[in-house]
Amino acid sequence: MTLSPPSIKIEQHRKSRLELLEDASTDESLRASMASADVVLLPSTHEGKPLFPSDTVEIFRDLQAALPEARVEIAVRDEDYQERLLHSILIDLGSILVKYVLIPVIPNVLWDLVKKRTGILTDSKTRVCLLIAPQNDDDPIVSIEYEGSSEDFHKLFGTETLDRLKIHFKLPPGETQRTETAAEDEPRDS
Amino acid sequence: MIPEALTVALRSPECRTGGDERALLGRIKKAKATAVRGGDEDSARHLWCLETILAIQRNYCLAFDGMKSGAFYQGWCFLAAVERHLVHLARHHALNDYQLEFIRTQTARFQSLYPYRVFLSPAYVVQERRCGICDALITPRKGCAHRKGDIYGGEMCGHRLRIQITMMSLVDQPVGKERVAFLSDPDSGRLKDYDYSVIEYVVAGLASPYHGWNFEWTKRLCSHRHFADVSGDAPCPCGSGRAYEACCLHQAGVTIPHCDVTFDVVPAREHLEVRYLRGGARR
Repeated sequence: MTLSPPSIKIEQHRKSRLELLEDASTDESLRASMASADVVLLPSTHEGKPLFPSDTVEIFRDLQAALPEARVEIAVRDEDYQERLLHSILIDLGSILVKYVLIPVIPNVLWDLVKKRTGILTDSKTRVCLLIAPQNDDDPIVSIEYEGSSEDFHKLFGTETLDRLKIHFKLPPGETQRTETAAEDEPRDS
Repeated sequence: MIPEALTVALRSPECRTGGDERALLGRIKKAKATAVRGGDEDSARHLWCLETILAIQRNYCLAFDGMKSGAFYQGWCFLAAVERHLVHLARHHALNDYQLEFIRTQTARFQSLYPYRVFLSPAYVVQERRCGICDALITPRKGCAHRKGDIYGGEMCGHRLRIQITMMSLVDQPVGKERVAFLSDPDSGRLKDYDYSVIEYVVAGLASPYHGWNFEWTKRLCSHRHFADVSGDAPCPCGSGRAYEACCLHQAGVTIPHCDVTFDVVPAREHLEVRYLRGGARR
């Protein structure tokens, strides 16, 4: 079996944090709770319904435990919560919206989440979309999308990558600033 | 307290018979029930590990027997079970004892020699998730204190899901490796099997599942006489997808993938008949 070379894509999102949270739920109390949260797990939508990656409940609990000083929220009411379970072996942390102040700690927190789920399957396919909100909630956010093996996640999704983010806040919406891949590597047997 | 005889018996899986294994499993289960009744969670957790180690060793031997007897798909399914148990066990127990590291390595080697590359895999929407220990409904903000994958009362906590299948797909990294895609002959409806020559060669050279081996893929130029029965318009044995006539037939030979296998215990020569793959690259 072959894993594609890992890729990390950093771009400025078209929406601000507030706009994203407004899109995520119509429930006023949930919106208010998300607005004051430091970390929000966001769903994808399927036929108009919010869907989270498999195991998001555990990811939610693990994030709460790993960031005891931060407020962690999930953009869905309990009664509407549903997961999608995909075909392939995949560690999918979903879309995680975090405030800029968490940049120093978030790479290690995410790496711990990945490691816990990888176990001995160290080359499992891993996907995460980290959305970083600037200090001003009305400014566009920056998204960092990683897809590749869990081993490469640690190398590519490190603090160094996040440290270089400051320049991306100046980009026009939607423009991709940087794509790093290990494309020169041959696909590997897994 | 864990009876030492249990751990000693688990350390020499190559010496056990099927009867020994059943007796050992019975003793582990009995000791676990006693630990659970006495509220000894640590011993119950350790005994769950021993039970899982026994399952790993048993499935590994069954996989080997399957491959040895030509039941390759069955062997594949047992290897998948070994892998699954190892993943669960590694959360609670080091793999540096009971031959586990050896089994892990050899399982991965056998799996990589299998020709299966495409699998059927369903996608679900999970509508409800319940704790396998206490049946509590699990939602983001509600649930129970049990954590998935942890051991409680000598059993691993899993979640029971209410699901709706949304689609089936063909994938290369399935969640369930047992769902191998087989092609069928459109005329007869019979399933076409894969070419297991390399695995056949390896298991023929192994007298025990606990004898080590390794392999390396290379390329080798083979004389055309090995492919004397391949017609010019048939696919070239090199695996290019072109006709033999238009590809290698008029070259010095056919360059085919070659698997160099090394055995820790040298097998008798008659067990090692060299085979030439038809259809080229299997990697």
